[in-house]
Amino acid sequence: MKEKYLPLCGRYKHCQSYPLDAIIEMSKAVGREIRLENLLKGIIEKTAELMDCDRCTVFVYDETTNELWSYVAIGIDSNEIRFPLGAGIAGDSALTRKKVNIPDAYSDSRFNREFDEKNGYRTRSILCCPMINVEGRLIGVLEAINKNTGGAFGEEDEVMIECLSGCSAIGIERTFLTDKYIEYKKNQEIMSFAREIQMNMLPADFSTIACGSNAEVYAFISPATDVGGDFYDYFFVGDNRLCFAIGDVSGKGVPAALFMAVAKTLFSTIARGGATPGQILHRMNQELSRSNEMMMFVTMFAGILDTATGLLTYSNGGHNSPYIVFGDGKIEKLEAAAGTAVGLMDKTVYEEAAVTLNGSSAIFLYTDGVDEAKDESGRMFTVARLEAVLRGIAFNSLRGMADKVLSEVAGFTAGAPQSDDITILTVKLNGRAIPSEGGLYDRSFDCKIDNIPIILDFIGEAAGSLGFGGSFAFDVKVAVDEACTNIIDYNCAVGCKIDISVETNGQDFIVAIKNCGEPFNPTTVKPPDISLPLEERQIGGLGIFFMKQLMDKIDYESKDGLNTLTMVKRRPINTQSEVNLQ
Amino acid sequence: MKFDAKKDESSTLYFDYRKQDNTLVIALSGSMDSSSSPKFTTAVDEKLAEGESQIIVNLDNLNHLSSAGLRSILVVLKKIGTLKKKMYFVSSNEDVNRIFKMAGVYNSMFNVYESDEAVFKILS
Repeated sequence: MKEKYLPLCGRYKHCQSYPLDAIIEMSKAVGREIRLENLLKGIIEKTAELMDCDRCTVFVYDETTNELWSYVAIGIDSNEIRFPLGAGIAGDSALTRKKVNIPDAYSDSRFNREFDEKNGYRTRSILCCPMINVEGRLIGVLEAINKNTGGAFGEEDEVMIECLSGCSAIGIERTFLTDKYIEYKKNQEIMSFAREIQMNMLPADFSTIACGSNAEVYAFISPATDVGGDFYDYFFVGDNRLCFAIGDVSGKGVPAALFMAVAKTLFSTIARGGATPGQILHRMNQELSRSNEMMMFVTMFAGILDTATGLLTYSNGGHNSPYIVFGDGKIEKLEAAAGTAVGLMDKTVYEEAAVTLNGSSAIFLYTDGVDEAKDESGRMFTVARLEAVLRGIAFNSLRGMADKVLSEVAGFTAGAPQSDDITILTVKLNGRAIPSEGGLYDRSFDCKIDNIPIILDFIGEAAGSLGFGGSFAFDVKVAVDEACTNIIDYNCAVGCKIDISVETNGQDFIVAIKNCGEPFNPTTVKPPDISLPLEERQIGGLGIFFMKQLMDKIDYESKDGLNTLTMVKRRPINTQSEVNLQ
Repeated sequence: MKFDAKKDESSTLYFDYRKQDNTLVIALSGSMDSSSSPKFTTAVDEKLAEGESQIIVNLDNLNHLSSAGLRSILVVLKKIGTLKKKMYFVSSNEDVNRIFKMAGVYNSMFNVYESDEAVFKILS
């Protein structure tokens, strides 16, 4: 059993350690509880015990209403009491932030007898002490009533209650912070859910475009906060009109995300109705500028690419000009048809411009999170740096291009926190057998075995005009036949296409075969035992063996539903003269 | 190479037949790829049904031969063997012969003669 504490017992050592022990007692009590209700009960019990008084009340300060409230009183079941700061003795103590020590409550004009009368209680001595946190903020008031000795509270009691108030303030504040933390965690969960909803609004299956068309799309988005105001979209309107857009809503976070959702929905609805890029921006602008009290807006670029002719029609509503990237050091900024941001003024006119793409170039669209990405000292990545990166890109894939830009941005910002949403959208057209200056042939074929001769003619024609004839072309054609036959026989999904590009750097003849069917990596197939009769060998094995024998290098990659088989054959030195004669 | 417009446009494998003594010479031209190779099997089947029992297949003008083409040759050879008939392959086509050698069939699973005359010499 622990000794009952008696203040001023006369024993020096005991008196010295008494307040300290009391604080430890109180600290332990408040340290255990994170629920305010339980904590208050604990404070009340401990205070009554340590102060040796009949009753004790904790009044908590409510900042929002400037009131004190309490819902526990020891010995008597009590509901919540609420009164404004300054009312009564506790209220006065809170207002003046001073201790109030009253020997007889009934002789003090501030005392409200209502409680006593209702409960048949007789309040005599009162000691109130404001609870103030380390920052000087009022947390509440601790009140002790009726010293058990019968007399008034003494100086020692005043020291004691001050100590207890300090402990209690920490405990109460801790419960507030815990509640806030729990709420924060809940909000975080809500926000990450919101992020998922927002991300799901954006198409992410890039193979759906590559599959069944000669266009390719790749996009990347990374909101700076949970939800963001950037968006992109792409879809086919009709057989060969690939409609796409990139946009950036003013502001960040939830307001931007809400506006983004509206903008993205409007874009998709209007564009699917068959509107041209200028008409799309015009109608979106009319819708968004109506009842736009907050003056939110979206900068956006909308384009429609005719995949049969390569004609890109576009309109720009205040967005960063995209680029055509040729992959050979050249880039072209699409600066025409630049209007103002969408959603601000309903009278804005959006012009249209057009440019024709060839098979080897790609469109690179981005939001200002890219060029305005900051390093730790606040310097920006800048459009100039972006252009330098784009010039240096010799892309094999759209993803490769986007990844290159992103890695350059990441390298520049070097760990500085992302300050704005970053979005990249890339679009490429395949399938037009028009060689570019870089000597690239590109064509798309339906996935059917009848097309093998047409594919072989294409390869033969490309090889011949790139200066590779004779046995060299014969071998390449066999390898391409084997690769395509395998794809058609085993990997092709319904409606799939085989995209073949042929290029050379003078020495290497490079064939890239892309399809979006089942992934199948021929480079991992074991060589057949050629001493066995053919019918006993593994299906497809001989063809793959031919490919490996006839070509110098075979790489296979399956990413985002797109399978790419790249085969390289090096021009032998001794055929150089033969080729030159052709 | 330019294809004769009179030939079957749906195929890229063309057949030229001539009869010398009791031997049928089929000269193939064009491409033996995965789409056209079944035509070779069909063509030989037809000729066997017509009563031919000794056939020379000349591959000199073949400009493409894939594993599917090779497979159809082996299918035909197997049938010839079962029917106890004769078939001789002629190829001075280095590209074709390279494929045969790569697959390990050249002069092992069947003999490859350098000319029709070389075959006739053996037959006489």
